[in-house]
Amino acid sequence: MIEMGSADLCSTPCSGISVEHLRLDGSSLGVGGIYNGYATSSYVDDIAITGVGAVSTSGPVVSGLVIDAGVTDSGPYSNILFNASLTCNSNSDMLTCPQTACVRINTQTRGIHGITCIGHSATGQLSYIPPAAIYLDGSNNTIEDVHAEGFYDAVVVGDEVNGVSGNTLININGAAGNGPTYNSVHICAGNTVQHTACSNNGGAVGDLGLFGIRIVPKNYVATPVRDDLNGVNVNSATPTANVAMYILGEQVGSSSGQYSRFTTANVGQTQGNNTVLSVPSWGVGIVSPPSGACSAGSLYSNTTGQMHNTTVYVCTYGSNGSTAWTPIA
Amino acid sequence: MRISTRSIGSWMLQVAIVVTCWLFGSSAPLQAQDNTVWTLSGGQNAFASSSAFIDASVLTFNGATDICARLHQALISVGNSGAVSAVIDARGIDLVNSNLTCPELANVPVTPWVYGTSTTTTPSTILLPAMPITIQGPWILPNGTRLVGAGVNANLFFAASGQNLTFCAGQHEFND
Repeated sequence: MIEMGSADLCSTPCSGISVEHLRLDGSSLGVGGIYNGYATSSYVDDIAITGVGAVSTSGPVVSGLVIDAGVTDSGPYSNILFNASLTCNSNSDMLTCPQTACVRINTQTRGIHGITCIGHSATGQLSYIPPAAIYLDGSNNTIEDVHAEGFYDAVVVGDEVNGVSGNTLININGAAGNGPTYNSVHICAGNTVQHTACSNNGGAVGDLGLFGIRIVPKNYVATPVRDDLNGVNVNSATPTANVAMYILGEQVGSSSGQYSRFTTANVGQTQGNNTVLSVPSWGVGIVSPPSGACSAGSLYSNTTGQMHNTTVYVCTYGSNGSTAWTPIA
Repeated sequence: MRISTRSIGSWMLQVAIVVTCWLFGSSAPLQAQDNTVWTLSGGQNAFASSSAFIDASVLTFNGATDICARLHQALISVGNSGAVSAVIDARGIDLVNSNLTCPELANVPVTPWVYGTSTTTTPSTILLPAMPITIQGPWILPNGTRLVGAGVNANLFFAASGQNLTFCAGQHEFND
């Protein structure tokens, strides 16, 4: 409905364009909301986008906001409400067509600050769930204060572009309101994953910082952080799970799943079953570490250990195949 | 001497009414002209016209009175004045004095910047009315354009080509 500049209007990137305090209603006609492929130093603020989305189950993705690869350093994009159109399944519940997205970011921006993305889907109808609210295929972005519901992933990183890096995501909340959300943040590994936006074109995500990631599912298991590069779902749970911090660094070695990373979360799970995998963390206390299983590779510091073999512990596999805390002498 | 607060309040109210009547009652009828701003004249506060602030509700373009025509004429006026940019106030445009649907000309949807064969890229700040505006094609904003609505009541509704939207108490439906 609105294009911020165009190649015909500006020989060099356009600038100084803004849209604010407005509601855009696409009237469920299959049109997009705001497209910026040409305007740098331009911003969007206080915008409601309604009735926008795809009108069929195939075809190009129709988005509320697209920040395309032709322009860098635009934004910020702040205080945005996206409420997708209802057109896809008129036989029962009116649902949002899968080829609908809230935001697509294909370049460096001045960030997304405050956005609510509402899709309309149903837990039992995965063929009608839009894969992701926010597609992050650009580097060096900050995305913060996000609420999404009715999309499979709230934010998907590196679904279509290889080597997306330098992004920071803060306070990302995936919820089950107008439909389920299964992952608040989904890191792609360059593989096609059913129901998600991850494709063979993406992957190699790096230098990604996640802070304050939350999922609030309703009668289904969901995860705050799904990292396909390392094959873990961090803190999968129902009903509510949080991850205070998950840092994905850079690849270590050449094998898959070898990345520098750190998290404050304690539990990781493989995808598709409940086998516990390690998501190493660093625990601190004034008593000895708890007994029982732990995440292999994790550290634990007892700040009142007083002896050389009761101060620092590492979680290792024992001869019985189970994990336990082992003091570092 | 004792003066009651009621007397002071009554006196202030009368003065306020007189001032209001002087400001609005004595003003000229609505017409196409620059907006009035305060300025200094001979060391005294005075009114003056400002080309930097244009009331689009009184403008027409080739006789057309839809909101896109009014905005287009305002943008052309800014360009003709030699000003680099201006604030165009469209908040006075409503369903009584204007058509809030931007039409098609020769099957091409018009916008405030492209109206038929007439085009302009003048930078501006456009203050939209708190009314639903129906567009039938994308608005492509030129360099230096700031589009400012009045909140969620200032809507841009997209309608398919050849269709009009009918608004009723906040709801809308298609009429072919």
